[in-house]
Parts: sequence; C-alpha cells; structure tokens
Amino acid sequence: MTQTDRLGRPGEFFNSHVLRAVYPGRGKTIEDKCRLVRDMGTSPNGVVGIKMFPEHYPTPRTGIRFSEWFGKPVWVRLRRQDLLGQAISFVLARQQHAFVSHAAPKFVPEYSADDISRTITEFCVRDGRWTAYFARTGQQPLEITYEEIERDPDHVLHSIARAAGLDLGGYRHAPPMTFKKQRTSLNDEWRARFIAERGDPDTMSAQREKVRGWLGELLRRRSLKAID
Amino acid sequence: MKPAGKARQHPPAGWVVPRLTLIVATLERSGSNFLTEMMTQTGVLGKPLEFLHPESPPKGLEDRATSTIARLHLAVELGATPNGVVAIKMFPDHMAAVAQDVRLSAWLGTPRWVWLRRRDLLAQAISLRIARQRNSYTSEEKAEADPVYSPRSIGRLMRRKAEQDAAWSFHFARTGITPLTLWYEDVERDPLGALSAIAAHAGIAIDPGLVVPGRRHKRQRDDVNEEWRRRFLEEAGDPDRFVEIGEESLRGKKSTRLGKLFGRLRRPKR
Repeated sequence: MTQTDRLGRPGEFFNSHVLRAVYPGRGKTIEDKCRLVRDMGTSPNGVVGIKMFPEHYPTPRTGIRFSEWFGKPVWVRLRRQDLLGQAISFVLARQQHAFVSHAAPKFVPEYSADDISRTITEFCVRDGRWTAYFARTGQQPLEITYEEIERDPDHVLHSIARAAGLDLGGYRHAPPMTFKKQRTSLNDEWRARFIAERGDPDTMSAQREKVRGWLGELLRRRSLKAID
Repeated sequence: MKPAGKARQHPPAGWVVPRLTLIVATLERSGSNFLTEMMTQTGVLGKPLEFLHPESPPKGLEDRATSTIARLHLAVELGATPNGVVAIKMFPDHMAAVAQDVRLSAWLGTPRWVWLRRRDLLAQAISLRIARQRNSYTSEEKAEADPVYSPRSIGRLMRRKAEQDAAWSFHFARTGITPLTLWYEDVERDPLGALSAIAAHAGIAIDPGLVVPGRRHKRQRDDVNEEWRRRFLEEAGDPDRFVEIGEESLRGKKSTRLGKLFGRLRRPKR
C-alpha cells in the first residue's frame, strides 16, 4: 500500500511496542500518536493509512474520539484463512524474537502443541472482537485475505483503492519488498506434528470452551484495553 | 475432548459407511434452510437436515431420534440422495454432543465440510431475536406473538453468534480441515454458484442445466428487521467505542478493566 503512494503508509502507530522500536521518543501521548499518524502515515495525496490490532483501537478512554481526528475511515479487514498456519507462524516468531524477515532469530524455537493451541484460541478471540465491532457499529469493511494477497496483490490493491474511492490507474505492484516470507520447512513440520497430536476431527476440543469463555467475557464488557 | 471413562460406541456389524458425507457447518439464521433445500433439490448433494441436533430433531422425527445412535441411523436413512451421498447440517453444539458418544468418522467416513457463515452479524442477531419471539423460524410457521425490541437481547445474541462462529474457526484450525467457506450473502446472490462450489468440493458432478426451483422457505425479513437495525445502530452503534455489545454498554454502566483478562490470554498456562 505504501509503495502505491496513494493508499497511505499504514503503520502500527497505536502500538507502543512498535513505536518504541521504530519511532523512539515519539507517541508518548495519545495526541502525539495521532500526530505521528499524520506525519508518517500519509501518502502525498493526503490519504492516511493505519494498521491496527483490536487491542490498539484508541477508545474514548484514551482521551480522544477517533472520528474527531480521522473522520469516517474506510476499513480493510485482513484475515488469514489458514488459522493454524497463522498460529504456527506467530509462535515461531515469538519464540525466536523475530517478527519480520530481516530480523535475525535470537533463539532456537521449541515445538509446543499447547502454545500453538493457545495461540489459535487467542486469534479466534481477537478476530471475534473485530467481528463484534463491525457488527455493532453497522460498518462493512472490505474483507481481504492473506491468501488473496499472496495470489494476486494487484487485485487486492485495486480493491482497496476502489473501496476508498481512489483510482490506481494501471498501477502494478513491483517487488522487491522490505518484508519477505519467513516460512520454512519447520512450519510444515510443526503443522504435521500438531495435527497428528491434537487434530482428532472426531472431537470438539475443550479449547472451544475457552474460546467461548474468553470471547464472551470480552464482548460482555466494555473493552478498556487502552493503547498502552 | 472425550470425557474420561465414557466409551464411544462403534457402528454395529454390517454398518455401511456412506460413500460420501457432506456436513454443512453453520449457525442459526445463516440462510442454511435455503442452502440445504437447494442441495436436496439437486438430487446428488444429500438431503441435509439437523439430524444430529441433541434436543430438537427435525419435525416428525422426534419419536425416532431418541439417541445419538438413532440419530445417526436417521441421517444415513433420510439424509442420502440416490447416489449415496449423505448430508447433515450441524451447529457446533451438535458436534460437541455427538463427539461424546461416537467417533463420527467411524460412522460416516471422512466428511467434506461446507462452512456457511453470515457476514452481517447484526442482521443475524436481529433475525434470531425476532424468530424466537414470534416462535416462527421459517416462512411456513405462523408468528405466535409480536416481537419486542430489546437492544440487550440483540447484543447478547451477537455475542453468542460470534462465540459459536469462533468455535468452528477453532475446530477447523485445530484439525487442519479446509472447509469450503460460503457466505450467506454470496449464496443469496448466486445460489447456483454456491451449489457448483459444493459439488466441486465434494467431487460430484451436477447437472449443468440445473435450475434452482422457487424457494419453499421464503425470506422472513420484513420492515421490523430494518427498523430494529436502524434503532440499534442509533442507540449502540457509536464507532468510537470498541467491542461494547454487551449489556453494560447498553445500560451505560460504568465499565471494568479487562487488562487482567488479556494478560491471561497472553500468558502461557501450565
């Protein structure tokens, strides 16, 4: 999106961990985070891009009303169909302390079916928060998947532009990219092992109850997970 | 997982595992009656009903569907099209109940899964609330009462449906099953496309000249749905707030911190 020069420059401006690493000294207050969005997240045509996980949404408790700063946004909901693949990828990244391809792994990963299972649960819960948010507010995001981006990035970019009322003309995505796929044979190995150990299709896992309990509790109450 | 100490029942001697089983994994008010009716009409994609519902079997089968085993017999007897394809419609709770008693794969083989979801969760919750209050779940059932608007009930149902949808997500992720995912909104727009996708997923040929007959189950949606939606969004739809579809938000009750809960999500539990 950044490379198009027209779809904003989406960064995790409301994620304090990322801010500390990427913009040290910036984003100490919520207003400064919003100004950082304007300074760093805007493409030359004035379009602002932000990337958010559900826990990063700046609710009124942070001291601002999002709509007063950024108007009515066009939402793009990015999900991964292969949730198991997503969980394994995340567990590997977390264990190695390497979340992007240019970060050298600091630790040797250790397979843990419990860790993968917990991560799937966590992703189900967090995805459910977005589902609930869009449903409650009646907003209809543009839905795209990781798999679609892999298959046809141009189609996805043009879809985002259309949703935003923009025209990318004949724009075509041209590698190289800063971020490369981190996936290795280890991902496949862990996947096969996890399914062999935990993938009995004739059960509904007890973890399902945890999904229900956690998501239920989150949605039952007001989410007060502020930015920091 | 299977409760300790309870043996799961094997199929009886002579039991014939169906040639192919299709399971429509879905939730209430996802357009599943429309889809399953169309599947039945193809004559080759099974005749899916809620055969394995643990408490409320399909109408007319109440006397026979007295146990999981009896329900499996009914599924194979009544859920099959002449080509031997058996189809069943399931909610997550059905699967959980069945898994207590049997290994489904021992009875039905390795099924092909069709995951039918609805993008518009608010519309789904409103539809369910109205159906429950009227006690009318299909267009053929006469309404018994006038529905009463309750934002709290709609919020509760949205929460419940989000939880149940997450249960299917978790099930497919854990097992590595790749279902065919269909969306209610897409099925409504292109019913034949949905049937073709199911047939391709199942490896079954359907008549290329197939015409979907008029639907027996008409849409129940009316002005009440639209009015409730408008009202709910007006009262509870502030986009600057996050998550709050629970009772507290609708009561305006002072909130409680969830940091501890999130901490629990992030911390490995041993």
